[in-house]
Amino acid sequence: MSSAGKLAAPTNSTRRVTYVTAMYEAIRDTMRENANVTAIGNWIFGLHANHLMDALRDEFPGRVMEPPVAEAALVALAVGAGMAGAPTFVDLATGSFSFPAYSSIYNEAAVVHHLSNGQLSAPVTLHLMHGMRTGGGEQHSFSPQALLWNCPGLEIVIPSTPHDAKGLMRTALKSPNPTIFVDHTSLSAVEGEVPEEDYAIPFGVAEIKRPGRDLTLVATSRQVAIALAAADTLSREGVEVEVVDPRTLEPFDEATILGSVQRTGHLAVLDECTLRCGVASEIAATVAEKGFHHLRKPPLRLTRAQSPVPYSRTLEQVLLPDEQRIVEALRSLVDA
Amino acid sequence: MSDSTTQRREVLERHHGEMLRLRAFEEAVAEGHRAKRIEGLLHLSIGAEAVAVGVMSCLAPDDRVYSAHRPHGHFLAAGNDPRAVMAELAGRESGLCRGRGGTMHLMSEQVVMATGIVGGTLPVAVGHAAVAAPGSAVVAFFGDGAAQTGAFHESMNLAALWKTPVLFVCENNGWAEFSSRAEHTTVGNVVRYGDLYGIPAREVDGTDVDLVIAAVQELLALVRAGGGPCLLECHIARLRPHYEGDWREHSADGDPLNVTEERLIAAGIDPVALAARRDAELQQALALLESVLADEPVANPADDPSLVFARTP
Repeated sequence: MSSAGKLAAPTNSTRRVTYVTAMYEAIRDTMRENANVTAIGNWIFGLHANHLMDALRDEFPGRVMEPPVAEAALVALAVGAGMAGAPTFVDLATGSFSFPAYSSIYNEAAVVHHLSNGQLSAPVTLHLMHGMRTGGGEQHSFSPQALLWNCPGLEIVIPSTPHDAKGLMRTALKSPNPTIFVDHTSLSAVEGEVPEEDYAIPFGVAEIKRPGRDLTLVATSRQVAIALAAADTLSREGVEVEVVDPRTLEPFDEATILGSVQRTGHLAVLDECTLRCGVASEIAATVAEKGFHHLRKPPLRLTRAQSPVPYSRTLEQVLLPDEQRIVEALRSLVDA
Repeated sequence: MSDSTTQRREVLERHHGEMLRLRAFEEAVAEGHRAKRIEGLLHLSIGAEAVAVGVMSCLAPDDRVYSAHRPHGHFLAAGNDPRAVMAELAGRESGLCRGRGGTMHLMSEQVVMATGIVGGTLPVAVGHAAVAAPGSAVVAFFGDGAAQTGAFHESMNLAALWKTPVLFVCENNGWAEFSSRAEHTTVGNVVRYGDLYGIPAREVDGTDVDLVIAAVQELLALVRAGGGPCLLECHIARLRPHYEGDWREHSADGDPLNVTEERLIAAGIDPVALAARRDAELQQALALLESVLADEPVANPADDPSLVFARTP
C-alpha cells in the first residue's frame, strides 16, 4: 500500500536540501557502507554541482572515475564490474546520451540475469537527466524512460522530490539489478525536507502526493509539482484532484493507481515522454484494461507533443502542456 | 629421445587430444543442426581449436574469460562438462543455463559469458578486470570483425588508460559475417592497434598451439604484473561459413589439427593411430549428442521461476 497523505512535514531530523544534495547523500552513504561501490562520470550531479563531485572524490579517492566519452563501453564496463562484485554507478548525463549505450543496456545489462538462468546479475545504477531544459534542442531533451520501460530486466526509478530521490537512490545502489535513475535538470535545485539519517524507499510503492475525490492525476518527475499547482487551482473551483506519483516505473504500483481511479472515476496522466508508446500511454492502457468499469470518462494523456524539441524557448514551451492547459483539460474531464 | 623431447611430445599429445575433443563436439553439433535437432543460429569454432586450447592451458583458476559468438570451444577448453554444454545447445533443463541462454549465451564460472553482439563483451571484460584481484587476468576474445566496432575502441582506450589487466585475444579468420577483412577496413592486421593504444601486442599463427601458448605466456606475465592490457592476434582459418547452413564462402586450408598431427607424426606417432583417435572422438561426440537429445528433459515453461530480476538479498 502507498502512504497516503501530504509531502513529508519537517521533523527534528529533516532539513531542507536540494534534490541533487539528496542524491549525493545516498551515493555517499552507500559508498561508505560498501567499499566495492564505484562511481563513474564527469558531472554526476549536473553541470553546476561541482562541489558535490569534489566532496565524493575527496572522500573516496580512486573510487570516482572520470571517463572519456564512451557511453556504450561505460555501461558494459559497469556490468562487468558488477558481475565481479563491485556495484557501479554510471552517469550518462543527458537522457539523449543513453542512445549510444542502448546495446549495452538492452543486450547486456538487462539480460545477463535471465540468460544465465539467474547465475549472473548486474548491480548497475545508470543516472540520466531526461526532458526539456530550455535551449536543449533536439539532442539534449529526450525522455527515454518509456523506451527503457519497454525493455524487460531494467528497474526504473523516477523521483520527483529530494526526499524520494535520496531514498530511491539508496535502494537503486543496493539493488542486484540494473536500475535507471531518471533525474531532470529542472529538479536539481528543487528543495525539500530530507531526513539526515540513512533511509531507503522500496521500489513499486507509489505515493499519493495529494488526496482528492474527483479525479486521479498520475504525474511523474518534474510534472508532479506542476500537477500539484494545477490541483490547487482546481481546488478553488471545488474540484479535488488526487495527485499520484508512481515514483518507480519498474516495479510499477498498479494497485495504488487503480484504487485511486476506483474512488474518483477519472484518470489523467501527465508525463514528459512523447505521446506514442510513452509512459502516459502505458499507464492509461493499464487502467483502461483493468479499471474500465470504474472510469466514467476515457483516460486522458497529457504528454509532450510527438515532435523533436526545437531550440528556441518560445517554440519549446508549446511542446508540453503548461499549468493553464492542464487545468483546462482536467476541468473538461470532470465536467459532465 | 631426450626427456624434454618426450615431455614436449606428451604435452603436444595432450593438447592435440583436447583439440580433437573440441573438433568432434562441434562436428556433432553441426550434424545435430543439419538434422534440425539443434535449433537457432549456430556459430561453430571449427578451426579455432589451437587458440582455445592454447589460451585456456595458460590460465589460473582466478582468471576469467569473456567469449564472443563462437563460444563452444572456449567453454569446453575451460573444462566445462561437454554434456552440460550440449544440453544447453539443445535447450534442455540440464544445460549450463537450463536452456535460457543457448549457443550464444553460455555462462560458467571461468568463462563468464558469451554474446551475440559483435564486440559486446569487450567492455564488460574491461569492467570485470578493473575490479579483479591483483595478479589475475581477464581474457577477452573477439573476432577481427569486432575491431571495426566502437565497442572495441572504447574498450582498448579505457583498458589502456586505466591499466586494467585484460588480455585481448583476436581470433582473426579474415571474415566478419559475409565479407572479408579487406572489404571492411583500411587497417591491416589487428595487432597494429596495439601501437596506437600504446599496449604490448603480438601476432601469431593461431593454427599452431605451441606458438599460441608461447605468446599467451609472454603477454599474460605482463598483464598479471599490473602494467596494463595486452593484445594478441591469432591468425586462423574459418573452416566453416559464418553460421551453419549458410552457403557463402569459407576457407579450406589452415586446419590446426593438421598442423599438430604433422608435428606428432614427425615425433614418431603413427598416423593411423591419429586417424583412429579422430574417429573415436567423433563417435563419442555423436553418441553424446544422441544421448542428450534422447534423455535430457526439455526446458519446461511451467517450471520457470521468473528470472527477469534478481531478488534483493
